[in-house]
Amino acid sequence: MVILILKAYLLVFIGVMVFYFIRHFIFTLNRLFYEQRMCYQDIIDSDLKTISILIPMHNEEKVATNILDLLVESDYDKDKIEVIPINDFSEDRTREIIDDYGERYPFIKPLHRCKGERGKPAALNEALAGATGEIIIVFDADYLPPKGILKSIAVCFNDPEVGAAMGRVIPVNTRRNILTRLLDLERTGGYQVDQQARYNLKLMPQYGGTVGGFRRKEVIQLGGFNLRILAEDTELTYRLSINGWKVIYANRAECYEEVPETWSVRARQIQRWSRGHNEVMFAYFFPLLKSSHLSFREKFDGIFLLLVYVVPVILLTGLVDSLVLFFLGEMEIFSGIFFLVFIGAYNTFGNFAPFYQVGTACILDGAIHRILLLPFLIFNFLFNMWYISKGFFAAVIDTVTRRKAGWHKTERFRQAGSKGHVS
Amino acid sequence: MMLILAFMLLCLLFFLPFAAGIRELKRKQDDAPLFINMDYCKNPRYFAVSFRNLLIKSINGRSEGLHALQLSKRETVQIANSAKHTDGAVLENVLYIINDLSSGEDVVFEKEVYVRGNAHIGAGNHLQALACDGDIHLLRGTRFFRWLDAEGGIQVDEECDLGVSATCAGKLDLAPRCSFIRLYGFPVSTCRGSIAGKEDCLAGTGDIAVFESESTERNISKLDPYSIKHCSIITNTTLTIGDHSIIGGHVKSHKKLIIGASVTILGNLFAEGDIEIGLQSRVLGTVFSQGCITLKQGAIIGTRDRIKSVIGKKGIFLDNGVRVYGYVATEGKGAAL
Repeated sequence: MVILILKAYLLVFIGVMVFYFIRHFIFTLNRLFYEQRMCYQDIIDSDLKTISILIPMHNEEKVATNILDLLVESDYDKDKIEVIPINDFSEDRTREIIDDYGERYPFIKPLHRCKGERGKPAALNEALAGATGEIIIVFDADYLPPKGILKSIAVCFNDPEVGAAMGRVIPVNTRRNILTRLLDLERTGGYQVDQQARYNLKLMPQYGGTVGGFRRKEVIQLGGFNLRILAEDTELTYRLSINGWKVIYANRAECYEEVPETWSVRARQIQRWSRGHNEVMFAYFFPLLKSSHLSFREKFDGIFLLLVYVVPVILLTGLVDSLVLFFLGEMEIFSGIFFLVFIGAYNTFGNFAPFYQVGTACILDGAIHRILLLPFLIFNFLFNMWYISKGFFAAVIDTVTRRKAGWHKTERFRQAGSKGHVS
Repeated sequence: MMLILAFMLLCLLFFLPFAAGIRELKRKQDDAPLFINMDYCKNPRYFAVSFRNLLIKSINGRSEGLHALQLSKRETVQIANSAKHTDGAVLENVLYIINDLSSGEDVVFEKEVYVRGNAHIGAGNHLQALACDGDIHLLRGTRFFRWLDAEGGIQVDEECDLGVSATCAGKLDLAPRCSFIRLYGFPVSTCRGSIAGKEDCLAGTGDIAVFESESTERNISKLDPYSIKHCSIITNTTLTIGDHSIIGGHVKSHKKLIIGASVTILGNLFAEGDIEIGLQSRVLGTVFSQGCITLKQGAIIGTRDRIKSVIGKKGIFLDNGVRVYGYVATEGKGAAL
């Protein structure tokens, strides 16, 4: 009986891999050979909406001045913007820095939080309550927004159906070590191919919680950010979508970010993402299926997206499963052509499907030599598989026991006083 | 021995996929972050602004004559007080004309031209790029390979090809059978014949803003003539709006959008399919389509003193008597009919 279950699970595992292979392959082909949908950055409009830019900050003295300086230089009409740096229980010089900017620039309105709940969702909710912009644009404190990015994001909301818009994130500290270079490859594939293809195919691009915006009033009406969920961005994507709003991706709204430079920081980050994303998966799986506002293909993609942090768990357990079957002498579950299907699904299509995306994305970006690093992604892949699995089980416990996860900010590596971006 | 060889072969095969990557890690040929232009701001007249700045900086008070100057590459620049070029002339240098420029028929300008006065370009001329501080008048059949820009207005006669971009601070007036990719003017106009004299009834009311309704109606496929809606409309089907209707909000269709005659829309128009805007209809906001956009006779987009856009991915077709206040762009074919 146990052997039968193990064999059945192996088939499920192969099935999942094949489904995700097909998905990744469709996205890749779409970006390479098919018509691309135009996004809204070409629109020039003198009547852009008022915007509030929220920047959650917890101990961000190393990076706070960089982002505020860049926002001061933005080409958006200063009468139509307010910048709200949110000092969330900082114990360093963050308070002094943002207060200094607040005194110098009337459109910078610091918000200090020293009581209530900590963390990004709580900070965003408090800032939302006082913000006046029609559109909210969120940046993490380590981001480096170019001069024109606010217009590129805000113009998306000329479309009356757009509830949230997401820009492209590009790592700035790629030169640091092999980890930053591999994370750069991951981001490139994730945005240049995955997000853009989902936008092209009218599926469900994801709002990523930073370098993106959403409608203030509508999100407040939908209840603001859920404090029980770590991945407030994914949660917002699904909440808007099932309520009839579209999330769109703007590939040309590009912004630099700092990626983790040590494996331990990366481990905590990916584990937190997995935990948060899977909390959303448990909360939104059935509401997504029941939504009357989404097309079949949006629901189909939405399910794939919801399960994206479950797949590494299936992979990990599938690997263990196959090893157990191997040592029990039961590995030959099929013979002939079916065995080839298994090998093909597992080795080529399952494990390496996202790598097609990454390679294609590098070609589209004209960054040819970094493709040579693709084989190294196997290490990142194994690393991610382990920590995503840990995050998944934490999310299971959160959901079953109604436990509330604490917020942990990602450590910054920038030297205080450095300009932060490529000049 | 065989075992050792087999083990070494195994190690080699394991190492092989990483060899090129290790080389890249050592040589660091491609380790820089992907480039983002941190100073980029969208400016429809960017080509001309950049060219003017570059040329003026390079000329730096030089007198008339030929000069070898560093622009984007080493170029010979001819500085002249004014210029009149005869039929069939071929001009090989970058031109900097301090006053007016006029050319005869079939003149070929092989390099960029900057005119500080007005430019009168003869029929059948071929130009790369033209920046002009005054007005530009293009006679029939003139062809641009790149762009033209005027601080004043641009008047374009029939059958001209305006290259990648035609922009100006004043009125950009197109005759029939002209082709374009991007246009920018106040307004971009195709008013010829008896229509040319007719004033836009809202021309003096530049303070009329796009109206955004709080409410939305969904999945309507047809609005009867003389309908009035005080809401935005979002629909998954093709939407047909009857003549003389008024929509007090935005309209979005996931298929085609067909707007009848004399319709007024106070918001933006978005469609995944083609958009057709009927005779004498008016849209106060931006018009955006993933397909083609056709503006029929007398259609007006936007209002004076405000910038709005008409963007059709696959094509834009402007009938006679159309006015667009601001920006027109397509990745496909743009044509004045």
